[in-house]
This record gives sequence, structure tokens and C-alpha cells, in this order.
Amino acid sequence: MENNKQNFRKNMQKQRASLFFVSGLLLASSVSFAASEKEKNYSPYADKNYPTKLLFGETHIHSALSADAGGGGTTLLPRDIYRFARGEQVMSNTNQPVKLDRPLDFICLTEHTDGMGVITDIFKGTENILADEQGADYHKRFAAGGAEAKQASFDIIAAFSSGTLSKALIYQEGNPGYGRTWKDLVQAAEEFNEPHRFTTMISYEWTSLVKGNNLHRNIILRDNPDRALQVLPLTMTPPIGSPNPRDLWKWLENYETTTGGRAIAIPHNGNLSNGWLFALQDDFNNGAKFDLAYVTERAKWEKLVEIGQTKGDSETHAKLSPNDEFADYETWDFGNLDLSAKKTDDMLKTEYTRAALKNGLVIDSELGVNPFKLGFVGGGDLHTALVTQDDDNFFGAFTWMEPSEKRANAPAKYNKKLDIGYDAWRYASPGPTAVWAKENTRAEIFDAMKRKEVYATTGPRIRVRVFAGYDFTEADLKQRDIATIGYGKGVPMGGDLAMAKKGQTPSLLIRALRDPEGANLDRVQVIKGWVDSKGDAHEKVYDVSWSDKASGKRKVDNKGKLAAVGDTVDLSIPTWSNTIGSAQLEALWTDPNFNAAEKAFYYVRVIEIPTPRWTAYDVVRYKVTELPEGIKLKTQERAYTSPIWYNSKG
Amino acid sequence: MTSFFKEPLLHFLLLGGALLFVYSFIDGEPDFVASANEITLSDNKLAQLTYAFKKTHQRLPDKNEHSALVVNYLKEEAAYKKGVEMGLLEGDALIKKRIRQKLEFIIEDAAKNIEPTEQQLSDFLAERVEEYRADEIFSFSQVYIDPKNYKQAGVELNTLIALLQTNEAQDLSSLGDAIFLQPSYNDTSYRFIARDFGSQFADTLKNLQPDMWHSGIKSGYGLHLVKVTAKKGGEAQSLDKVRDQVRQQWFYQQRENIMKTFYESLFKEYGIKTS
Repeated sequence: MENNKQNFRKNMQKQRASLFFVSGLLLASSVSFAASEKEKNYSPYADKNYPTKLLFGETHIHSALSADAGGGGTTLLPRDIYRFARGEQVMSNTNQPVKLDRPLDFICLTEHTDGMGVITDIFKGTENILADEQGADYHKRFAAGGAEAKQASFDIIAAFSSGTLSKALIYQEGNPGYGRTWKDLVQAAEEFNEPHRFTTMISYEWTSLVKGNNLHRNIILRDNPDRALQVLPLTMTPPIGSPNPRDLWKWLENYETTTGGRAIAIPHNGNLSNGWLFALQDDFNNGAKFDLAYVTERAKWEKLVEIGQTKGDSETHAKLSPNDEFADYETWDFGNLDLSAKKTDDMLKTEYTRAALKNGLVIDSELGVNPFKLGFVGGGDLHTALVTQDDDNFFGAFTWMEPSEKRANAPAKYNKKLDIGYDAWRYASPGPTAVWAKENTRAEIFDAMKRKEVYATTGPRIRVRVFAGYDFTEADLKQRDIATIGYGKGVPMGGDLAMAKKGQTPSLLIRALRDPEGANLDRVQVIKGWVDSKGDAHEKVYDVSWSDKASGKRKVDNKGKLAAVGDTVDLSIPTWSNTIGSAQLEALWTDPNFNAAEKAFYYVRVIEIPTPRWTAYDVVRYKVTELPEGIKLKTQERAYTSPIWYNSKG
Repeated sequence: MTSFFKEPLLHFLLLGGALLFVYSFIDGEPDFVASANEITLSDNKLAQLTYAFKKTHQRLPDKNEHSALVVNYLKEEAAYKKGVEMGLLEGDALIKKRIRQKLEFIIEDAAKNIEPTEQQLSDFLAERVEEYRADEIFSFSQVYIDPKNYKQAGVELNTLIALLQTNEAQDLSSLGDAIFLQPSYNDTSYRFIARDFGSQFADTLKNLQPDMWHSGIKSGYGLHLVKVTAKKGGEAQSLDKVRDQVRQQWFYQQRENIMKTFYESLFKEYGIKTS
């Protein structure tokens, strides 16, 4: 018996060795292929060495410690965030009881580091604040209340932007208040971290803002407090901080080398960067052309992008993708983050994700490295400390936007001079980050993020897997266990396809299942981007599976357009019914226009049937009779999988 | 602050007293006499302003500084009065909330300095045994039926269960309809099952007799045949196993209790009338 086992192991090792060569080519896939070889275990489910657990979490949330949240009336603190996210009922910032339908599996609390903790310290009147004249004054004025306190809030902001804010109130490295806040943040995360049950990742948001353009990145650590407390998070205000991403990458490098830890940076809201987030030159170095060092560093630290959140969807813009009927989704194209500059059409191509993925292929052709090789995460960016992702339970983006009869009609932000602005209804109820992990722990979640085996949804917990390979057959599609075949014969989302041999064409094996407590699926699409021999980038959206496809009830017309799924939304309740759409969709899709010499990426978009948007619930619950012009009351939620890349040596 | 009073209530009451003192010191009524449109500066207030300056600067204010202090104070009072007059205070939930938050911070600090005894923790746990039970862990197999595919799903379920009962070695992945979930789950927690199948299914699992096939179990997707092969967890846990969680909750509870007592005494102090 022992002998048999040893022989078996030896065989396994041999097989692994031969497979090693293949997996070396499939860079991002760190998966062992052991389980794919049929003769080993009778039970096909034993010894699976690939991720089988699908986790849903939040990768972007703020508490009162973030200056703009605390200053805006948010009172809930990190420990409240964790209690709420793990499923407990809490009182909201406006004293309304609130609870999640389903708890989250993990959470990354990402406070803005500039000014982190200062507002709460001013309220509290901590020793360091009272010892400072300005600090003591603000504290007193907040305590006085009324118009005085309100004015004090404005004065702090004005003093900060004019550079007259007292040093004691500038919370950054070197200020004891800043260090204390970071320590408490890490401590709070540690208190609530329960491996295999509820994971709290130690993280922060680096809030780079240049000329009002959003260049923010969320920084997520793999590690525990022993490493996290060896550093202080980076701020963006010079001279101690910096708004330059290259300085952030230095910080990350330094973190890894000095602590032995691991970290990752995730940019977000390209849609509010006025063309800056995925610019094609280094704007912090007089617009210098990217060189090999720049793109290599960027590719090393920035492997993911937050593709959508409460301040709009950043997948693509209708003007960039005129043939994509689902492109115009929760669009925010008024201007930059603070509305100090209006958006112009030429900015779009260097701020939206799909365009960046295409530009990444072009740069890869020139420099040999793709700086925009990005997997997708969701994220809320809610400033209420309440991760509410469901439309029937949305507590708003800021405390002023917590449920009330007024919010459907409330104005949000305007720049009257430029004649741009938006109202509260524009904020979207955001979605989770889904992670294909082996376990629910900090290390496993981080590793999945790093290999991009993660995806974003706009709210519902849609389950989706996609694998790309050259040898998938129709019979594979019929297999119940898509993962064993997928990992065995291909690469998962976030991976890289090996070079095609002569005559080979890649195909995608896709399976999607709706949220067990949610709406049916309308369709599954593959979005392909590629660069032709002239160096021009292209994109195409393919409908690859849809409900009522087999029965022929929904057809593609002669212009290539698939018939709409229909609409069962009843706005008077509001509700919808799963009498249209399909609970599950799957496809084996072979690229009909594959050219082995062209670099390409493929990602999957799963579209739900129409459901009520959060605004529709407000209308009914508050009996709102008058609504602002253009308000959207329905939505078609979706999931975006991380792409798979084909890297021709062109 | 060191924990010189172990009794939270006593601590709190003293703190409450201190608070009242602090507030009367900062902006108590007697310091300025104001009719509808009049602000009077009292000697008492002047002394306070000077004292506050001295505390931060370690010296007395000079003439200019002194008059600036007074002007600033008068501006503050005038603006405040005007604000109140304009109804800003009444309507401004934000400001009220801030004052309340500040007050609660002060009270909370008191709660932080209490350290629970071993006895307190085990009593706390004993009162909440249910909340601290170990996660329920299931191993089970399932076959899925999409009712849309059958005229009579019940008939199909009967056929399948008969098959499963007579032939244990069935390859489950060839039965029923395909669903993008696993046919077998090993040692999986209630939470995970609820996530994959919906909470109704997970709840049902709790009550199924193990080692036999059950038919017609509902999930978010349709109907299932289910056999639970192992059930563990769910046992009451000792303090050593859940100490961190219990401690965390104990502190939370202390805070809640102190807040509750604080507000009860405030309500008593001000008297609540309903009209």
C-alpha cells in the first residue's frame, strides 16, 4: 500500500514536471494541474488544487476617519464598518437601523490618508489638537455648534487648500496623530479578522488629485499587523507625500523590501480623471514618453482596476464604443472629480478601462511590456461606512444621501460657471469584488487578486467562470465540472494564453449562474480587443449565449443585433419576475476572427434582465411624486470578468 | 485616564458632573446677558478668554491680541445668536449630531478603561451560548432539477430518488440537470452553502436526516435531491476558544450600557414631554 502510494507520488511528480513547462508559459496561472489527469483519484473532487471558493467582498469603503466623510457628517468608525459588513445591524449616521441581507466574506477599509483621523480628533479634542491654537479653536467652534461649527468645517477646508492650516492639523507622516490613527486602523482590522469566515485586509487609499483629476489608488496589503505597522501609509501632499504614481510605486517597493510583505495598488474612477488616469505619457515628468522602466514598474504594481463604483461605471463610454448597446451604463461624463474642468470627448480614450486595455496592447507592441494589463474589481467608495450594494437597501454615497424623502430630488454637485453638475440620483448602488480563492484568508484573497482571478459585478452575486484554451470541445461544455476541464486544458480569467501553434484557434469556455436570490440572466458576451499589423487597436462585442437561444425565441437579426430580453419590472411595488431570462448560461465560443500574429484580450460581460434601480425603491417607499428630469428607475446589472490575454510576439 | 473607578456607573456619574461643569465653563448662560438683540460681555467671560489664551501661549495676550480675542468672541456669539434666530440650529441635524458625537466620545473613553475579569467574561458567554456556537459544517451531495425542463418535476424527482436509493455508486454528475455548482460539498459552512444555494436551502439542510436521500429541496434555482453525509460543528464553545470574540463583544456591550445609562439620566434631567 505504502509502495503504491510512493509510486503514485513519483508519477505525479513526473507529470507535474512535464506540465511545468506548459504552466511556465501560462504565467499567471499558479494552479497545479494534478487534478486534471483522470487516472489518479476515483473521486474527481479529491485533491483539487485550484480555487473552488467564490468570495464576495468590498475593496473600497470609508469611515468617519476619512476627512471628507467625517467632515461630511459620517460618524461611524472602522469597527462599525466591520460589524455591519459581517452582518450585524447598526444605526446609520442619520440614526436609521440598517442591516445587510447577506454578510460579506471580506472587506478592505480604504481611508483617505491625507488628513486621516484629524476630523474625529478635532471633535474629540485629543491632547495634540488642544495643544495647537488652531486646533483648539476648531474644537471649540465645533462644540459651539450651529452656524459656527458649519463655518469651522469650511474654514478647515479653506485653510488646507490655501496652505495656512496649522502643521499640527496636517495628519501625515511625522505627525503623532497620524501614526496613532494608522495604528488604531490596523488594530481594528486585526480585532475583526476571522480567517475562513470574515477577512479584513489591511489597506488604505492614496488620494492623488492633480488639477481636480482623480488619480486615486487603493493599496491593499497581504500581511498582518507585524508588517503593516512597520510603515506609515503614503499621503499625496508634498513635501512629505506625493501625487506622483512613481512615488507610490517606490513606497510599495520599499514596503516589500523592508518588511518582506506584499502589496498591490488599484486605480479607480478613470471616468473622473479627465483623461489622466490612463494617459499615454508621464504627466509628472513634463509629458515624457513612457520608457521601459516606467511601464515595467506600472505593470508590476498595478494589476487591477476598479471598473465601476458609486461614482459611475468606467468600463467604456458610448462614444468610445458606439456599437456596444450596453456601453452607456451609469455614465458620469460631466467633468473631473471636483468639477473644476469640463469633460471633452478627446479625454475619454485615456480614462476608460476598455480603451486602456487596447492602448496597453499597443504599448506592449512598442516596448515589450503592457502597462495596462488590468484585471477587474468592483468597489463602492461609499463614505457612509455602510457597504450597501443592493438597490433595495442602498444607504447612499455620503451621509447627506442616506435614505430620505428628499434624496431622489437632491442636487449633488454643480459648477455653475462651467454649466456642469449632477444630482444625487446619478450615484449608483455599487457592486462587490468577487474572488476565486482557495480559502477565505488574507493571503489567499491577495494572491487571487495578484493573479487577477477576480471579477466585478454591479451589485448582484453573479457566479461566473471563464477559461481560454485551444483544445476545448463541445463535450467539455456538457461537463458538469467546468473547473477541472478549464484548469486542465486552459487558463482562467486573468491568465495569459500560450502562443498559438499553426492552425490553432483559441476558444473560451464560459459558465454563468445568477445570484441565488437575484434576477435571471439576459445574455453572456465576450468583449475582444486587439491590435492589427498597422498598430491600430480595435474592439468587438460578441453575444455568445442568451436566454431562449436553444428554443429560437430570441434571434439575432440581419444587422447582427440580438432581440432584447424584455422587461418585467413593475415600478409600482417595485419588483420584477424571473419569467424571462435564464438562471444559467454557458458557451463554448471560438474566436471567429483570430489572427495568431495579433495581440488581443478577451473578457466576459454577463448582463442581467432589467430590475428596479435604487431610485425606484425610493419613489415607492417615500411616495415621491415629482422626479428630476432624466432620472433612471431601472437598471440592467452586470458582471465583468478579468480579461485573458493573448500575447503574440509581434 | 487610568481606571481608578472599576464601577462604570459611578465613573460615569462623576464624568457627567464634570461635563456639566465643562459646558457651563465654555458657553454657559451666566457669562453673557443677552436680550433679543443684545450681547453683554461679562468680566467672568473676559477672564475665561484670557485664561484660554494663556494656556495655549504660556503668556498673557498683549493689547492687540486681547482686543482680537474679544472681537472674535463677540462675532462668534453674534453669529451664533443670529444662526439660532434663523433656525439654523433647529434645522441642522448635522451640527446636533456632531455635538452628540463629541459627547459620546467623552463617555466612550470611560468604557475603554475597564478590564473584564475572567468571571465577567464567562458569565457573558454563558448568557449568549447560542451566539457563540461553532459554525455548522456540512458535507453533502446534491442532484439538481430545473422545473422548467419538465412537465411534472415531481415525477422526475421520484424516478431519480428511486435510482439513487437502489444504486449507491451513481455518478451524480450525470444525473438531473446541469448547474454551475458542485455535486458534492465537503466540510462546508452554513454561510457558504447559503451563498451558493440561497439561505432557504441552507436552512433546510440543518434539519435533514443524514445518510439518506431527500427529495424536492428548494434552492434559489429549483429543486434538489440532497443527501447529507456528515454534519459537525454547532456545539457550544468554551471561553478559551472564543475569547477574542467574547472580549470584543463585551466591550461593545459595556459601551452600549454606559450610553444607555447616560441617556436615561439625561432624559430624566431634561424631562421628556409628549404633546
